Amino acid sequence: MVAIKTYIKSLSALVFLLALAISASIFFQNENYMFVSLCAALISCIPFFTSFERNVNNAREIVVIAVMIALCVAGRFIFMLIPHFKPVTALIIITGMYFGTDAGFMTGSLTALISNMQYGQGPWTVFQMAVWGLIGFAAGALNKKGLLKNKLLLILFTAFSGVIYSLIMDIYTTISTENTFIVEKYIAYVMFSLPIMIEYVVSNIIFILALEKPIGKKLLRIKTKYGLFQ
Amino acid sequence: MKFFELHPLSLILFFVSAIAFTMITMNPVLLLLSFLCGFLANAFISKGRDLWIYLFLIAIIGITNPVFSHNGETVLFYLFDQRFTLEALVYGFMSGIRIVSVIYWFRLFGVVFKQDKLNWILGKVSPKLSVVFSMALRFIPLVKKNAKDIYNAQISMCSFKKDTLSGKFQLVFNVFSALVSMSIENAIDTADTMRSRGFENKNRTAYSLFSFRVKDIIFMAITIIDDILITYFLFSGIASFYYYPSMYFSGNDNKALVLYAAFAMLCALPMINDFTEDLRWKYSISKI
Repeated sequence: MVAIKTYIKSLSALVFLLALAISASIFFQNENYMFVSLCAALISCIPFFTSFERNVNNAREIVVIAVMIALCVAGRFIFMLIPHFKPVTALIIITGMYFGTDAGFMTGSLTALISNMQYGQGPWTVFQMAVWGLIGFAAGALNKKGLLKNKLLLILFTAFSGVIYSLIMDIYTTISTENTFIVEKYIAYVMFSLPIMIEYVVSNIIFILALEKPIGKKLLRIKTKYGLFQ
Repeated sequence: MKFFELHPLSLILFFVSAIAFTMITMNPVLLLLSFLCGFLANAFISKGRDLWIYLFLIAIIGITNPVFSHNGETVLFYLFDQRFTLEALVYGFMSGIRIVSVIYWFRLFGVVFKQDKLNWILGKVSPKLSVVFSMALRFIPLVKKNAKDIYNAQISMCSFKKDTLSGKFQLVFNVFSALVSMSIENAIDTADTMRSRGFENKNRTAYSLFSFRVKDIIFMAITIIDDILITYFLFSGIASFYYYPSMYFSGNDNKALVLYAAFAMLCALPMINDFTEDLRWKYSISKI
């Protein structure tokens, strides 16, 4: 009940702030898709951060989340032997599945922030934070009833999250270059990034199939042994 | 005090206003000012090397815009039976300049906001978030070192063929799997240490090195005055610029000049700050 109340509260705050950003952009000029979308991405992270602040109190949980973030960021380094294969999304999904929604969102969004500290910050940081965080959150929410234990559903969810990530980053590209949303241009960008998207989805599915069992077993062991994320 | 030594609060206010005003305007004068200041600030403060690459981005966005958007009165030529207009070309170049300016400001943000300042900002939003953030930053080099150790141990056991793809996969997954166990077990130890030192107590304070000085007050005051001026003039519709159907420019009276001056002042603040500091340094060197 308390959880539902906090979600309603943060949702109404989110709607209010979004309305504020949209009205500000309308006052200044006719169309400001870039400004509004950046504000929306930033604002949508806030309720998750406050929920994390409220729900996670255990030092062990905090340190384990920090380790998962470090593993995601360093994953690129560890898998350097195999080019083009980055385990980031798969690891975020596994974290969300076993450690719940808060840990999933936190791992996704902070991984985006920290890995961009090495590769260069930009407006895209905010979008990556929101999208990766939401992927982790969705994995946690779906697995609450054990839905992702099903192999087929897990593969479907991984493919879906890869596609969604790519499509949302293409929306960012369209809006940032144009400040309006032109459907033809968006389709052109999607077509242009299609090979990368397919490679991304395939590598994600390979990683989730290879890592889900061994890593999941370890996370589950830690979870039950120390009573984390209950 | 150099620009990057200022208090995070005055810096974040500066970056938010510079980025927000650059994003919500389409006025070419303001955009060019922002672009120029962003470029110079990156070149001199962060000593960025590959800034010129973004000029290609501007060119690509500028040239592709008329291909997709056919508004505008002045037709330059027809491409595949579609109008290629001057207005769309100018609009494309201006939106290219705008996104590159925003990228420049974010680059400067990334250079100025290193771990300590970012941690301070995150700590204001949520203290636990800043703990997670700083611990993750510390764990990354540790995880890399452990990965290297495990890798060397696996190699010296000679149990994998490093030159075949399946061997590579097996090797890397084994390393990673061992790494996860190792890191999480160590994490539990770290957490227990933290707890025994009173991490979960309520009255915990965070250490911060930043102090709010006179220079910060001046910097912040200038930023806020500029913000108020720019917001007022943009809100009252001065210097609005229309690209379609034909280019129409209303900003060439005295009020618009005030707007431009305020915006230039805002964007040039980091440069002005560092330049005066350099001058002071130069003239206070002992002549003896």
